Amino acid sequence: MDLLQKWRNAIGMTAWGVLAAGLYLSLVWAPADYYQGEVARIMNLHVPLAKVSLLAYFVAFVASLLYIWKRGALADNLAHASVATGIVFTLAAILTGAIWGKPTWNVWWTWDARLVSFAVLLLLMAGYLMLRSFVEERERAARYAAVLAIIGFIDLPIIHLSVTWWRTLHQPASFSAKGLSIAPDMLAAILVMTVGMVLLYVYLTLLYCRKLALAAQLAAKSEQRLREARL
Amino acid sequence: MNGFTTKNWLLVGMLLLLAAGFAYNRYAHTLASVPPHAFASITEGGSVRVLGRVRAGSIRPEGDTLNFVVEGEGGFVQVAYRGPDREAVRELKNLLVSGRRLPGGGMAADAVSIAANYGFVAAAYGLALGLLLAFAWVQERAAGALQKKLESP
Repeated sequence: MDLLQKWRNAIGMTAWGVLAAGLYLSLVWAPADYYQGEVARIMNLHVPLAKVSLLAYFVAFVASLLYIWKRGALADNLAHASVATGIVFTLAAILTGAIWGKPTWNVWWTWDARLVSFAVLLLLMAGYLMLRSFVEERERAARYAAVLAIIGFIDLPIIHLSVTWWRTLHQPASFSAKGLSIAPDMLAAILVMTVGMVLLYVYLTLLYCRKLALAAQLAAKSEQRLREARL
Repeated sequence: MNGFTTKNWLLVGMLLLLAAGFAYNRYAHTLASVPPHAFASITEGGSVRVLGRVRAGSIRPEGDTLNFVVEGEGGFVQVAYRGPDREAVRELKNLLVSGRRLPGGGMAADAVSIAANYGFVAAAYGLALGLLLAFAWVQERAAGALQKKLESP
C-alpha cells in the first residue's frame, strides 16, 4: 500500500490524461451510432462508470471479508475508501444513464430490473457510509459495515444477470461469451475510457485511504495529548 | 506524501479543456449552417446549408420531390428536396438541409439529416466529469488539511 501511495499522484495524473484521450476518442474520433445518433456517445462514459461501480463494491466486499478474518485496519480503510469512492461512480452512472434514457427511451427513469438493482447498489453504498457515521465506536462500526458489505454483495450478480433473468428495457451486455456486439471504433473509445476510469478509481481510493489514515493518526495524537494533560 | 499541487490541477484542467475544445470544434463543424432568416444573404445558385425546424403541415410530396418549409429565428425557407433519407423529413424535426439557393428565393436541396441534440451528450459528460473532479478536489483538500494539522505542533 505504501508503494501505491508513493505513486498516487502519478496514477492520478495518468488517469486524467487517459480520460482526456478517451474523451477525444469518444466525442470526436468514434462515429455516431446508426440508430441512436450522437446520443450513443453517452454510452462511452456510462458503461465505464457502471463497470467501475461494480469493481468498487467488489473490492469493498473482498476487503470486508479480509477485515472479518484478520481484523486489520488497512482492510477496513480499503473497504471504506472503496465504497466512498464507488458511490460517486455509481451516482454518475445512474445520472448519465438517465440523461441517455430521455432521448432514447423517452423517460429519465423506469422501474426496469437493471436500473432498480443498480439503484439498490447506490442505496447499499449510502447505507454503508451512514452506518459508519452513526456508530461511534470505530471497531464496532468497522465490524457492522463489513457485515453489511458482505451481505450486500448479493446485489452484484443480480445486477449482472438482471438483463438475462428478466425481460428488461435495458440492452444485454455488449461484451459476452457469445462475442462482441459493438463496432471496433466504439469499442476502442469505451476501452480507453474504462482504463481511465479504473485508474481514477485507484487514485481516488488511495487518496481516501490516505485521508482515513491521517484522520486516525490525528485522533491518536489528540488522545495522547489528552492523556498527557490528565497526568 | 504530498497531494496534487496547483500545477497538477492546472494540467488536469488544460487536458480536459483541450478534449472539450476538440469536441466543440467537431460539433460546430458538423452543424455549420445558416439560420433560415440569413438565407436571403446567400447569392443565387450558391451552395448553402440551413438548420431549421420543419414547419407542421408544410410537407407536400410531388413525384420524386418533397416540398416543405424549414423555419426558425424569425425566418423560413421553402425547400424542394430530391434525394435519399426522405423519412428524415418529419414535422417539427430540426433538420440540416444542404443544397443551393434558387433564383426565386427557395432552396433546391439534395441532402438532409436530422440535427442531433448535443445538449444531452454535453450534459452527461459535464455532470459526470464535474462530479468526479469535484470529489477528487475535495478529497485532496481534506487530506492536505489533515496533513497540515498533524504536522502542526
